[in-house]
Amino acid sequence: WFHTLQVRRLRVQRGRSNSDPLGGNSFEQDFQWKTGLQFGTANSYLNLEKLGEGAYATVYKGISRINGHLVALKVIRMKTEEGVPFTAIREASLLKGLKHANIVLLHDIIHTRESLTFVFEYVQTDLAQYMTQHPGGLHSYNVRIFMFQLLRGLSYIHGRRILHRDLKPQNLLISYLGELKLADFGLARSKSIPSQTYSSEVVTLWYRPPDVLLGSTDYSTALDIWGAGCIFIEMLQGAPAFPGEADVFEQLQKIWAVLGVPTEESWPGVSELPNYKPEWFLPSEPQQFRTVWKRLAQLPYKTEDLAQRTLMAMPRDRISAQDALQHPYFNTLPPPIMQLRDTVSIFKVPGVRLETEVRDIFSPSRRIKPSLVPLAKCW
Amino acid sequence: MARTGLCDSKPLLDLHKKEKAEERRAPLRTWANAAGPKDRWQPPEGDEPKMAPAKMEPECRWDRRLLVSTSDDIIMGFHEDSRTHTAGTMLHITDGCPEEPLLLYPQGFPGLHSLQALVPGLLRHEVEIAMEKLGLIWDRSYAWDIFLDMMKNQFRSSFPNADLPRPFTDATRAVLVDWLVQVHELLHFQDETLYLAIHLLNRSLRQIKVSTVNLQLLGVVCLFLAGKKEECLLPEVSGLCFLMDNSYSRHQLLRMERKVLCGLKFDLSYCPPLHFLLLSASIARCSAKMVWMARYLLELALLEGQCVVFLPVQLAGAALCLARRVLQEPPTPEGEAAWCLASSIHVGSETALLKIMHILAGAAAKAHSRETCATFIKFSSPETMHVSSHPGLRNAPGLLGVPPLHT
Repeated sequence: WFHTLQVRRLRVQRGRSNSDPLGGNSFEQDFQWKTGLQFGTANSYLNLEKLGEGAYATVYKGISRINGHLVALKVIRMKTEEGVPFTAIREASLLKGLKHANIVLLHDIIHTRESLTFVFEYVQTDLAQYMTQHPGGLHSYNVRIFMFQLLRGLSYIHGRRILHRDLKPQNLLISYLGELKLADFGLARSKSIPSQTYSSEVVTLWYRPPDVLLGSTDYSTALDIWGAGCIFIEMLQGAPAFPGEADVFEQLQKIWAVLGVPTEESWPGVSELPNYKPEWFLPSEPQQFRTVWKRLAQLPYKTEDLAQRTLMAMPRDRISAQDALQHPYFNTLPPPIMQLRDTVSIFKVPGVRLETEVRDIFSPSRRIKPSLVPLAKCW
Repeated sequence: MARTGLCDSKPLLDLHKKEKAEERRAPLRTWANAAGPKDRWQPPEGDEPKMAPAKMEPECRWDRRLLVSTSDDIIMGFHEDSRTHTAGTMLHITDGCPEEPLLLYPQGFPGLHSLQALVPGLLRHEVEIAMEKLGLIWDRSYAWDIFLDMMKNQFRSSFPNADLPRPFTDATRAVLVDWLVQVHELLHFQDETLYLAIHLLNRSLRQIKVSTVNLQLLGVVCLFLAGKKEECLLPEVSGLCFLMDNSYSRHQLLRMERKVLCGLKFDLSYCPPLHFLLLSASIARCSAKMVWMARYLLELALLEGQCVVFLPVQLAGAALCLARRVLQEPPTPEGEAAWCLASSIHVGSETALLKIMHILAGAAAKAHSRETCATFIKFSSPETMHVSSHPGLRNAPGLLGVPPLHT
């Protein structure tokens, strides 16, 4: 009970998609204002509280008046000058075509003159909050099922010509059961024939692959795989894999400290990338992952192997999501998990369930079974 | 111009330069220049291993046999398969019944797509290479999945019949499409954007009540929405109003945008026939001229209201077939083998193919004398190898023999 209360309080302070400099300060007035609008226009949903603020939208928690289900309402600011923002159009159009257990479900779209609201399924928390709540690294079994679901979702979108392009723990929603769902497709875009060079500046720096940091605009599915690898390490280690603080060069330096500075031999073509200036980097040799991230040393070798295959400097070397799902690391999961229908959650497979995390900041002494928590939500 | 923030610099287009509208004869074709035919297809002597005719022979015969005798079986098999597949998924989403089998293959039988089971590995290999060349995919491991997805999704993009709601006729629609082709060119949009825009127009004409007065507005809004979905640089709303001689206000345009988005339920996904065309052409090792010819014929199909009942892959196949007949390039063993392989992508009966070819041939023969000649002009430029003024097109219908009875 206490646990959920804390989660809710936390949500108000932390933006879900992007950090909000104002935090919860403008919360009251914003809440009032939006509620008024919503009541006037879309009567079927009731706003409850603000969950976060993104680059072009504000997310509220709401209740559907039709069936009483909790929903997340993403209210998009309408630019009166240019009509519906193109990001909203792309996100809606993409999500309409995506039906998968590991992709957040878009229930409804409410479009009025003043606002555009996407109605999503409500998911209790996200991976960033989950990791804050369970510091010092997650249970290795839970890491495995989160990672499996992340790769399953990625494999699904990559098979449909879609890149997420903004993977980070804040965009991975986690339900009370432990279902992981990819969210925030505002930057995703399905690719069409003329290979357009997308601009840089799309992925949060920590999860950005070295090829993009070096200025490559030739994005591929490997972009998302690097992000997944960083999240994998972060879940195990309890701290970000490459927490660069300032700029692109510092971020690169963090990566080279582990992978070694790439050369034309180790990565053909690297010297042609715009930001490649080897004289700027401190010389560093490739390190063993288990010496950098100590948790890997405590786990079987296949964990380190998967991390290594996802965190390859050269994008072409990185494993695809499809192949990663077949990696021996996932052998310990029940075999039927590999043959599920797209829309079926892995928790339908007997024997798959979230393990209790060893560490919990809210009840350091008591162990809460996560499966009991939703009982507190029967309002 | 408003940047959508997802692209690098493209030349900004000053919409207010009136004379640009007039110089239709020498339009700047940024996209064509940026990725001309040379970049997008390599001729067979590129880095690809040449297809040895001897090696091809058994596969090729296999294909031919299938195409002649059981082509419908493949196709129907695929069709049904895709239908049942999507139907199954839909069912599961809508009611989420627990009785639904959780596993894809409850018996552990892995052969799911009959097409996948039937096609030779060679076709799959060629499709993967072609998709990679065209930049349709990022890495080859997903190529076949994406191709199957394209094949499946196209079934949602054709219409059951070609009837338009009351005040509109194919002629009014053709005039509008012709004008949109010109605006599209003026805005330097990609070709996919045009196909998407016309598809949106076709859908909205059927799903939204629009008066004749607002038809032009609807067309512009469809193009605007297609641009928002696909393009990096967008025109400003005021610029679009200017293109329509300010007959509509910005407010009206935005209201129409809302109406269209709601009417289409925000579903703007579409698999343009152009993708299938380029894919087949790449597999068939077509010459650059042949591809331009096929693209021209395919774009003419946009003007033809009756073409909306056909699948994108059928339109693309017909355009390519007709281009081959018109250009009459001397056959080579490699070329024939590659063509044979490429034609096995086709879905549907040969009658449908012939029907589309007749429509296209008729359109191409008259294109120069019609009022709606923007496409004709566009493809008469040197960049497009003057394909639209090819003498063979004048008697294109004659190449096909007698038209099928049921038209």
